Amino acid sequence: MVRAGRVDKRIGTAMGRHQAREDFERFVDQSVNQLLRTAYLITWDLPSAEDLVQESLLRVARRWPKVRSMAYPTAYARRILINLALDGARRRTRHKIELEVGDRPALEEYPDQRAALALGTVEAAADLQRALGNLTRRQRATLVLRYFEDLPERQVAEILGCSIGTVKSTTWRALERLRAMASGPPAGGRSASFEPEAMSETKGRTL
Amino acid sequence: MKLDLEPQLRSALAARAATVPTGSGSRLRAVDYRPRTHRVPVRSAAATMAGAAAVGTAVAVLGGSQPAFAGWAAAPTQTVDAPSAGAAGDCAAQLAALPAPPNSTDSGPWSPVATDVRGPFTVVVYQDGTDTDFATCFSGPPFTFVSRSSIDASGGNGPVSGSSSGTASGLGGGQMTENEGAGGGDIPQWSLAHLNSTSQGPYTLVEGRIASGVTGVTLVRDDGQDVQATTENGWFIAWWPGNQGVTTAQVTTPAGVSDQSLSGSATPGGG
Repeated sequence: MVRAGRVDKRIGTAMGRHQAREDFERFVDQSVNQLLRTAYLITWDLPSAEDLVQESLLRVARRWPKVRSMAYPTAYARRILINLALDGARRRTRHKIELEVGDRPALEEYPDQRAALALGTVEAAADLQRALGNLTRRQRATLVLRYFEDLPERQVAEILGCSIGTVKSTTWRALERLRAMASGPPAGGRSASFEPEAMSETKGRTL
Repeated sequence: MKLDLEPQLRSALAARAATVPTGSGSRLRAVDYRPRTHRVPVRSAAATMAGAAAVGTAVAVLGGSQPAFAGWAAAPTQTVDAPSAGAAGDCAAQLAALPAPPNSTDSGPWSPVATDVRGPFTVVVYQDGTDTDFATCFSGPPFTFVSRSSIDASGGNGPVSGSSSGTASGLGGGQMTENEGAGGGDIPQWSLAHLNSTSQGPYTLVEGRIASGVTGVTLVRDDGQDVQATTENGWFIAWWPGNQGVTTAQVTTPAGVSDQSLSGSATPGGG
């Protein structure tokens, strides 16, 4: 009887581990696209985004027995991803050079008013994309969580490890910068901007 | 052109997100992440307080059969109201010899406010009655390492005042780098230091302040192992052999357990 019990326990354990692995693969399948999109919007660079997602999933895998029992494992993975994205950015100063590629034709070259308006809309969207790329990673992460993931400020604050007030002020500053950059002078030639990564708000100490 | 920003922002983000190629997701799905399939047991504080044997973790052996930091445990191995006499004596002597950090005045006397014991190793946090100056003493066979820090009294976001450190018996210290941060919420201030003992090898020390009502802190290391911290008098202390970092803390309050991120900026330091 004892022997049969031991065999059953071994089989049960093997099945449990197999199930855990299957559950993880299902989790990756369901969450990888969303994580990748979020990572891409924060890093603005596809290879960096892929690296981030892979590292995040590796960390989730190490903690899978615990994460598996969480109500929202994807939210946990997203938090790890964002912490990694911001942690890496804080360790270096990033220089970004924005290239204005080509000349955009003046509106009066387009006699069709609707076409001109459509072009204006496309131009505005392109300006906004370029402006987003010029934000700091923390600003972009805040906007992504608020306007792409549609999370409330309280939850954004929890993920970023800061106060709701900081989320509000970061959002406001980022939007103001977007307004200023996106409605700047028309393109032509080359422009460059220097954008150091924002330092995290810290009260701390060093040894 | 006036920008109606928020709707356009949503569209711009969605448009950008839609450009992620499907191949990227496929590549990430194909990675073998080797998920852990069973929990690694961590001894609970209650069990250790009952006098159960500590769970040791074998780490890199340094020049002999005895693993480094032998006797270390992922949870505190006993509760103490004050450090042992031997540890206290070593620490007091070292603290007295330590100069004040830059932009800080000599202070004292030092009183222990939190003590963490894991096997033969003791970490004590001292305060001098102010909220700006504190010191840490790490002692164990065969070294004692002390450090002293001073926080910018304005509590602003700028650089902090500074620190000084020293070691006893010519052992310990070495290269040190530290991360610091404001976790906000239940952990308003914390620091992580990667240190190196010439006799025991690398180790990592994490300490910080906790909000009132916090009854437990468990740090989740980068390699997935949980390390239970000592929480006492508004402080938490944990340490482990090796250089693993930590990005998350599980904080226990009467309301339950919640995760708090610990992300901060790195500061190179000297030993």
